[in-house]
Amino acid sequence: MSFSEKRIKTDVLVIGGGMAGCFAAIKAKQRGLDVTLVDKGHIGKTGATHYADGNLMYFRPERGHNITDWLNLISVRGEYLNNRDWVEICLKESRNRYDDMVSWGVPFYKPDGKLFINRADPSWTGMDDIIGSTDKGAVWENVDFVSRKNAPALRKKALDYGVNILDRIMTCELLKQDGKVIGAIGFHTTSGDLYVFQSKATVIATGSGAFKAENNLTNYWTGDGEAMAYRAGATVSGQEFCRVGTDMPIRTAVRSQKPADISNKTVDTLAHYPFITGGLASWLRPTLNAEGGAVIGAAWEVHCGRAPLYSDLDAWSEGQMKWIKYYIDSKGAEGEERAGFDFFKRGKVQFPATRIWLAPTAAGAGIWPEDMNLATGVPGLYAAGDSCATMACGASYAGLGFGLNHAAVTGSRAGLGAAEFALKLKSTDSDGKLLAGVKNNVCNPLERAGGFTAAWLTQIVQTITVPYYILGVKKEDRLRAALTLAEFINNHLSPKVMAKDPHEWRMAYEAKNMALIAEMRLQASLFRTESRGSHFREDYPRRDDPTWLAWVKLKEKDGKIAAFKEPLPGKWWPDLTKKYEERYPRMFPGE
Amino acid sequence: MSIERIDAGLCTGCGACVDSCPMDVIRMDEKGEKAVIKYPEDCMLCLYCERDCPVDAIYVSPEKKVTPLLSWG
Repeated sequence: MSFSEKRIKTDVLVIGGGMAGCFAAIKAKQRGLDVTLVDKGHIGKTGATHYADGNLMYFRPERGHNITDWLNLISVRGEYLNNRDWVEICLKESRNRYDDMVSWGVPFYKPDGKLFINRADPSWTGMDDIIGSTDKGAVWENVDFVSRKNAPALRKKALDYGVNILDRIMTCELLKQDGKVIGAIGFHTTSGDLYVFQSKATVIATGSGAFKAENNLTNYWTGDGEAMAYRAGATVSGQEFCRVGTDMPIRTAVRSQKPADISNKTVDTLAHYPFITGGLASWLRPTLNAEGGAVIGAAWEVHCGRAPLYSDLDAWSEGQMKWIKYYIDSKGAEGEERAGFDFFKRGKVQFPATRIWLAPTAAGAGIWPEDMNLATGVPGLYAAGDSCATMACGASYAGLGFGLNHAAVTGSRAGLGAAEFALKLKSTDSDGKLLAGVKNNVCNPLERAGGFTAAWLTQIVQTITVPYYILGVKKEDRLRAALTLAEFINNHLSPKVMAKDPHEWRMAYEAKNMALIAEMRLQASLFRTESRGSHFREDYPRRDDPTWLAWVKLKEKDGKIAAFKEPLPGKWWPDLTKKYEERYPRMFPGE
Repeated sequence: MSIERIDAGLCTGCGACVDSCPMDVIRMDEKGEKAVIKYPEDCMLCLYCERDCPVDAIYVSPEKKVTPLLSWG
């Protein structure tokens, strides 16, 4: 098969067109550069930004918000593995990014013409037990996007500013020459045309990876950015923190226009295992903020033979019920529909523990940034949004609108960082031989006459990632077994994947990327010999502060994934003179 | 069954559903006149196409067929 080849010369190439990618593109464009923004979907209608029609953190000191309270709240949720410098930046720049969006025409939920601000008081969320001792009265606030209107507005604004937008481009590999990234190669998934980008700086904003585990509407999240950056020599982090959740019944409910009888909101009411903080945040935004701790707990219960499981609404505190009432009252019918059943009747609600999906790593896990402008260890390469490992969320997704705020803040910084880098450079022409080699790699699935289908390779990867007993409830023997298979898949199956048309070519590359990030997640999960946040080790059920107040970094070494520790600065450690139970009021099974 | 049908009688060929699909399941037919389901196996049941269709020509079923796992394929 032969398709035509397009060559595009640009100052800044941004890969991924969600919140982070659009911010990066617009900010780089505002510095007067030529900017190209590409995505494998149609920008404005794809990616997690579009799907996560959720909320945006709203930090405003004039509303009585105390930065230390908010920092502590996020650190407790992230079980102290948060990079607090990044949390602070996300808080302080929240206003600027919101103002940007307002000026760009991104609509926010304004019933009666007035901006609606969600309030969260720790005493309502059942979190006062952990926050209360140090920050009584800490209040969290966020604002709502208008469903599915934010991403189209960002697209429009990027076009208005003169960003060159290319839809349906599957970017496969970065071009690296003389130690720096000088562009990327991809193809158009409809026409099959090959696209060779020559850029002075490149920003990856492709989100995370979720193994097409069905049920969570993030099948486009296949770790493309993390995988191509890793292959180009970048360091990756936060891979052991895999969230799980369940929401298939919600889609069924949307379909039938009836409230869901069962949802992850229900699951999070499992007072039995609220060991990952923020249960009620999940209740609020079922498809977005599923930290999933309760789901791992549920998987454990089924594992132990205690199915069927019930959520015990009688065990909810008055504060928690107050929260629900506030939510339903403020959101009207939508709130009731999302609630799915009458909370106020209380009693027990059954949920299907078999319906579990493996979600991506927490926001702020991915490609490791070396500075506060999101430059990676590879010159010319920047990362933003859910593709970058600021580790702002630590060991567990913060929820509450932190994710989209993080995407806007890091996108903006990465765009400006990439622009500054590009301004100092002349464009580098790629070496013909090198280019031919990368092209050959990229086109391999399409040119291969026989081999494995992308659909089959995807299924094979799912067998070592999706079941609860691998990346949900983890144990050394199973992780080792899965890792052996992941290495086999990467060495023997991925190189033989084939595609009969450009659509399958995308699926083939996605399957290859998923296989690689599966190996990363298994490697990191095996390496961290403790439990923390959304990482639960059956064989190490406790947090081990002296050993593991550290991040796990992964980097290619001699053709293999090597794991090593990056210690957390001592100033961010919890007070180790406090009793363990005070540092970690949430228990893992087996503790 | 995931995405089940696009009613050719109703479809105006506006292409909204083609853009809406994050998974590249829907394409325009060869003449560029009607939207067609090209890769139903990759549908993730997000319902974006159905919700974005201005003439209500699309139906997405909540069920999805699971392909049997083969020894190789």
